[in-house]
Amino acid sequence: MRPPRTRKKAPPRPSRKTPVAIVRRILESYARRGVFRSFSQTSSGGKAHFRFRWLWNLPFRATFQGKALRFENLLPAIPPGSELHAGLQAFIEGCQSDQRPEHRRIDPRRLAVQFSNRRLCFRVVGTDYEYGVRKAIHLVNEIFLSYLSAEHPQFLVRHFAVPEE
Amino acid sequence: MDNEHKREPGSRREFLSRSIVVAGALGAAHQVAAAAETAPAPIRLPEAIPAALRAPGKPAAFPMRGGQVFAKVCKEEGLAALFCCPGNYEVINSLCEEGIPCYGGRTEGSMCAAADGFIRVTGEIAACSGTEGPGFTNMIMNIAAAHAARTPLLVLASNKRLSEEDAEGGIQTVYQQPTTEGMRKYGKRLIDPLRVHEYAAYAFRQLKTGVPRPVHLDFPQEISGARFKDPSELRFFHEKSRYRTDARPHPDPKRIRALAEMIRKAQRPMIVASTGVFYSRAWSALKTVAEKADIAVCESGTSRGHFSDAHPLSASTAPGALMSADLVIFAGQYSMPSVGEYNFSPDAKFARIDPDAADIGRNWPIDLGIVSCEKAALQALAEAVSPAKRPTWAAELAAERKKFEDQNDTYYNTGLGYQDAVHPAVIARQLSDFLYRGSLPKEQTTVVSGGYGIARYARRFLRAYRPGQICNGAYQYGAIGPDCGYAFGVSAAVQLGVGPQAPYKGAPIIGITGDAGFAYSGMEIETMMKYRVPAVMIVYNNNAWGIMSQGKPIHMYLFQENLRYDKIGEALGARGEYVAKPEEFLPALRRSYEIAAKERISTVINCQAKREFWQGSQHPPGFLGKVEPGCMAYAH
Repeated sequence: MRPPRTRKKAPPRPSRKTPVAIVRRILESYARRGVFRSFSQTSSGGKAHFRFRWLWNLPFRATFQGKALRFENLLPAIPPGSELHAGLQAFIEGCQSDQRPEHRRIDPRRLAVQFSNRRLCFRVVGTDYEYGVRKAIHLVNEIFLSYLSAEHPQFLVRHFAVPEE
Repeated sequence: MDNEHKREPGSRREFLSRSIVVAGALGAAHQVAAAAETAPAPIRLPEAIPAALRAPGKPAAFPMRGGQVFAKVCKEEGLAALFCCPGNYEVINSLCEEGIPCYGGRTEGSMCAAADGFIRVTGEIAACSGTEGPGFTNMIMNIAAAHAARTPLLVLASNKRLSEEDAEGGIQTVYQQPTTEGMRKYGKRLIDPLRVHEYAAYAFRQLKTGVPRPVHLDFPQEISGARFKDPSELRFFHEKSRYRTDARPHPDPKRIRALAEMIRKAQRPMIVASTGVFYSRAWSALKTVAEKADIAVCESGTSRGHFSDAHPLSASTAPGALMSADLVIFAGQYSMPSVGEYNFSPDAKFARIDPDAADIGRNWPIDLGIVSCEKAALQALAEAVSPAKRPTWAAELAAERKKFEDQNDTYYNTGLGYQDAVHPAVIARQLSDFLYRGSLPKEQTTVVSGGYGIARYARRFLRAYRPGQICNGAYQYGAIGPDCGYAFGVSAAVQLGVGPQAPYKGAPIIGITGDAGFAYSGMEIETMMKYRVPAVMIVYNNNAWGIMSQGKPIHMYLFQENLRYDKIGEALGARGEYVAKPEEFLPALRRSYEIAAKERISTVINCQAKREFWQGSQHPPGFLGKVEPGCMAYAH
């Protein structure tokens, strides 16, 4: 009798359902669709780092760890207490308001948003990471296009070299 | 040369004194001149001008010269107007003799802009022309603007003799065709007299098909002056149906069905109706498809009004709704934005309808591309799309329109608070009230929306209710300055009642510009008066270039303060109005419009503002941002 074959176990694949895999899949989908013009991911120290070019072809960087997706250095040179800072806070809060249509609203029971010191941080409440990532991308999009472009064009000119004219 | 010019120059004081006397006296052109020893003769129109305009044309018949052969093709092809300065005589004289409306202005550049403006509000082809080197190169900025705007503009210029090629004989020599490289669809220096008809056919084939752009022909004297006894001497002489087709590309039915399915699945679909919708005259098809499936429509492009701002599905004045669209259909968006330049959601799906397959997918990623004439595609879509009602989407559009109007009200009320100068929000809002909420039919007045900083306010308040009602001056190329040229061409179109301007034939138009812009084309006020083509030109005078926020050192960005552009208007034979306080603007506008309507006299309204209005921290709301597409759009 021949001894039974022993199958070598394949190394475990990263689950498509881990939080980081979901975050990567969603962000990558924007790149595949051409919304982002480039996309890369690296990992270090338990964090996943994402880089991509997006609005006005500008470089964006996001970091995911635990339940938090952070955009570091997203909004530079906004002094706390300034009119722009207050306006931005109000805009972000407005995006979570019941007054907004549902498709434009961030549900704070599913995603917490914090803006402080150049950084925009999104923390998924619960386990719906896809919701969290998509809403985070929507909010960044809206901050730049609906708020800064419309209300503070000079800020974009000064800090992001968006054409003034 | 008159005696005044022969005199030796005196002191600076004498010179200034003489200048003031001359300027002041000219300014009183429409009043009885005060009796004074030095009073100059009043400005008047020489009888030769109306006499020449009254004279019937003399269409050419063989034997003909090359210029006449070319002009015959232009007439056959329906060239709607020519705007020119002297030069290229064989061609411009022949065009005039054929009975094509012709206008002679003060600079070739402004006449080029006039032709562009004419086309942007009529959809018809017009031409500009200038003399060889300097006349041609004067047109360059505005050829480039027409190129960026995708205007089917026919650029004509004379160009020496072939026999003098490379010889620098005489003056005004330049190689024209390399100069327009990159700012035209097609260009040709005609070199064989026998092919003059053939190259006219080349020009119109390009102008009348696909995505429009300028076509540039330059005429050496051997071509325009060549003599032909009969058609047999021309190598190419066909009726237009033999050298081009009116056929248009029609959409693939499968792709139309796919788009109809995308619309069916969408909750908040939106069509961005741009330049191609206007040029293909697709406004009825657009309305049908929008109404059948409750699709929002937002305009962009070189002109506005192909989807009325008054329509409940209009998103042109609902910038806050753009991010809600989950399906966006670009129709005839020839100047494509990149991601970030239009306010759409990253999760929206995108389709594009365009006659040029090679352009679909440029800049903005698409989920579906349809190669087609815009009108054919929208007609097919109107057939294919399932009827649908989207009341919550319509309600959101209405709410966002109201929010936008409320914000405009806030700006206006803030602007009214400034009493030491006229705030741009006051000009924009009171103009808007006058045009759309007063005694005039709101569809009547065609507006040239120009300037830089003032445009950021004016665009928010201007409305379009029918095709070609707003000419978007600085569209894409962003040239500051052609506004009086555009205004002349637009007013000529309205006086002639061409295309969608027909119901408003004879009505005055409004032009808006800045003090920086006025310097480039303000001399065309004289052309407006010469032809009695009336415009009310509003000059926002803030003593500075609009871009002065970059001003270090500031002297390069500022002008002398309180310059009087109204006086320039008067000196050129028009009226002038000086407005320095908010409450003075509306009465001045009313007077100017009434005189323009009754007497066909143009007015320059100098609105004295101040540069500090662009500093939002001290003078809120300051220089405004913008959201595209929609009423604020001018980049794409």
